[in-house]
Amino acid sequence: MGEAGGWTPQWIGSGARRLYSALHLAPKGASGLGVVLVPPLLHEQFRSRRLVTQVAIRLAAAGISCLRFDFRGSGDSDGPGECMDLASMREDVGIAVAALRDAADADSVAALAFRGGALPLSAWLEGGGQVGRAVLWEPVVDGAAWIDELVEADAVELRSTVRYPLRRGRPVESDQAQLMGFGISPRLRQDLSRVQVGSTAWPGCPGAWGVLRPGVQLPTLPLTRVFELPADAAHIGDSTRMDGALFVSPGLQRVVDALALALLQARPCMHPEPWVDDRVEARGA
Amino acid sequence: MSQLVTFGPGRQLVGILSGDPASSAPLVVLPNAGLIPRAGPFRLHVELAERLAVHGIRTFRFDTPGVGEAPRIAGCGMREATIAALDHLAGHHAAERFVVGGVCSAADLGWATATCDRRVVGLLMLDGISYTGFWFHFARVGGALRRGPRAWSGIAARLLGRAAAGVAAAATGAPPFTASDRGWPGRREARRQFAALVRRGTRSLWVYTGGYADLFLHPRQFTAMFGRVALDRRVEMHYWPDCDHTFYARRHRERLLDTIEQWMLEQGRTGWGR
Repeated sequence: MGEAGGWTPQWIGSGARRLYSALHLAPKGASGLGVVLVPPLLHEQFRSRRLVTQVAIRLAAAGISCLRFDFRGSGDSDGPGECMDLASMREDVGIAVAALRDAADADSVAALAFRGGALPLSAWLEGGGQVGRAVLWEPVVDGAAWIDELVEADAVELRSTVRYPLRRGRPVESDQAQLMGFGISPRLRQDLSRVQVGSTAWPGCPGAWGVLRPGVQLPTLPLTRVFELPADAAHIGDSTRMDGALFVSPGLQRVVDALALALLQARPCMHPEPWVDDRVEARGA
Repeated sequence: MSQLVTFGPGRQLVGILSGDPASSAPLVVLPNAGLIPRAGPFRLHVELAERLAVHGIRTFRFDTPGVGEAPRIAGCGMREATIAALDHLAGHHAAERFVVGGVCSAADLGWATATCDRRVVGLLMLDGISYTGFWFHFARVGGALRRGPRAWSGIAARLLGRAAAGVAAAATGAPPFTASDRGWPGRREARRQFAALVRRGTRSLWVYTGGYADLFLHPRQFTAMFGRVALDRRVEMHYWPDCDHTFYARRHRERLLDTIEQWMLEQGRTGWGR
């Protein structure tokens, strides 16, 4: 498979269920550092496709090899949406991290999760997944609250007179197998509802950073460093519509560059030193 | 098994080819719809690829320059990229005939490609070319009357608002939405082009949805737009006022997938290009 504009599209995983991925290799002589980009979920994945691609291109230009991927049953990966659940997503994160380690010969890998991508990443880390650092970009922290929001937004879409001008507010019938227009399993809803990012320790990840809007506090997350998003940064989660594309703005370019620099500078310290949540320790005592 | 394909200038564009490589059926080419990446609205293109692959029929979905993952490429717009896709599939994957189209801008691309490339033997026109006229306005007035007098004042206010917006836009030099924004030919030219396409044997599946209510409101509008050629056996048209433009609801998407699948199989039975 040839390169496409400086990156290589590829399948990862095996068997009938392969994951679509894109490998952005840093130029030769680069850092040995890699970043797996964990996509947002559902409509936000489509809305942010271009933004995530541009972030990967920028990180690779800074010397950090990157791998983007689509979860099984989402995006361009194999399988229907109904085959996706938290277990398959955790497995997919592991496959993506392993694929980047192999392909980029990266001795240190970080994970950058966008929005709802923080939920499966957190679940994978709780299960012992290892990365040098987790970076959470406007993360969805409370899975249950987010699913509730989406269920409400889905109902609004189904009775929208803008979307369905001739139905005059008469809603389209829906079911548990659809959310935000996508086919999903009821199990995925339940799985995601149980995830609380930061509620359980991540033994294989020494620390988490955040990329957040100014003033946003995530008290449940022990973020050791926060990068502030500029005013012109795209809001991945502020619309239910998937027919809009988000881009890396000039202000956001500076944040991505700062993130790249910080990851490179912190690299010597990115060996797994288990983060032990002292709240959990206290409860256990 | 799906296959990743790079093509276009410098092979900077990426598409996904699915289906049986030995299939002799026309290959269904699905450019991105609007700004939605190549997987399609709510993964419509992925689901369609899986449906058609069961019958061995091949599909190819791709991002045009500037959409999804695809970089902007100087001198290569959507139409050039679509032609490049056809050339690549013909040169490297033994595809000789194509069905091109999809939702909205993808339908427009199908039309634009078909009119200049005889390899296109089929069109998927989902909320594609449309021109208003008598039946459109008839349906609009009928709809307003059915809603009763209590709704009329609101309707009148909206119509006046639109007229005012049109005047304001004209004053600032920014015209309101017109067919030319979508690259459509004039109505008379479109009719001529469609007649030529049908004459050469091009099959076409048209679906108009309720989400297209600013442009299409009555099934007889279709015949009024294109004349007798719209009644040709090679042309199939559906009007689904209960659906939205991007087939948000799973049940609507299933209906569309069923319709496309059956249409493809039917064309295979009766013979493409005849």
